[in-house]
Amino acid sequence: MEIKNRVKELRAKHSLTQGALAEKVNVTRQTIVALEKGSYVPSLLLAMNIARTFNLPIEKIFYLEDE
Amino acid sequence: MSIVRNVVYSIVSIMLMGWALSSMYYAQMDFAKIVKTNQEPPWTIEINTLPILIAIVVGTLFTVFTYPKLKKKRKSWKNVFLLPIEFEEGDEREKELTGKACRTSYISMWYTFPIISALFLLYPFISDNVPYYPIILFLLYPLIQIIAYFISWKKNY
Repeated sequence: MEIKNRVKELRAKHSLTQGALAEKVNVTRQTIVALEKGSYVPSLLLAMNIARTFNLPIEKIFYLEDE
Repeated sequence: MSIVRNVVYSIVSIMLMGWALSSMYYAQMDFAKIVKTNQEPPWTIEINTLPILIAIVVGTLFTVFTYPKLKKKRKSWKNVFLLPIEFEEGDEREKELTGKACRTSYISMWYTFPIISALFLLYPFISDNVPYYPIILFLLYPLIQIIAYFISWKKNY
C-alpha cells in the first residue's frame, strides 16, 4: 500500500504555484515537487498544513492505494 | 544546487589541507632531527610556504562565498560555524535526506576504516619516498565519508 495525494490537482484548482504553496506551508519548493511526484510522504504536520491551506480534511487530499 | 558547490568546497579544502600539511611535515622532520640530536643553535629549517598560503587564501575565499549565504539559511551564526557546510536542513524533507545521507556515511565508515587501517601497513615500504603518507591516508577518510554523504543525498533528492 502506498500513500497518494491530490496536491497537484488542488493546487491548480486554487491557482497556486508550487513556490506559493511551499511558502504557505513553510517548506522548500522541491518538497512540493517531490510530494506531487509521489516520491515523498509528508509528515502529519505538513499534511495538516496542506489540508488547512486547501480547506479540506486530510483524507480528501491523502489516501491509501493498493500497489 | 548549493550542496554540489558546498561538497566541492569541502573536498578541495581537505585536499589543500593535505597538501599544506604534507609540506609542513618535511619541515617537522627536519625539526625533529634537530631536537633528537640536540643540535646547538643556530640551526635552520626549510619550509615550502606556498601550499600553506594557497590553503589559507582558498579557505578564506570559500568562507567568504559560503558563510553569508549559510547565515541566511541557518539563521544563527552558531549553526553556520558548528555544522558542516553540506548540511541542508531547510524543511522536514531535507532533514530526512540529511538523516539518510548520514546513515550512508556512517555505513561507509565501517567499510573504509579497515581498508585505510590496513593501508598503513604499507608505510614502512614507502616512508622514505612518501613520508607524509599517513596524512594522506587519514584525510582520505573524511573524503570518502563526504562523497558517500553526497551520493546518498543526490540519489534520494
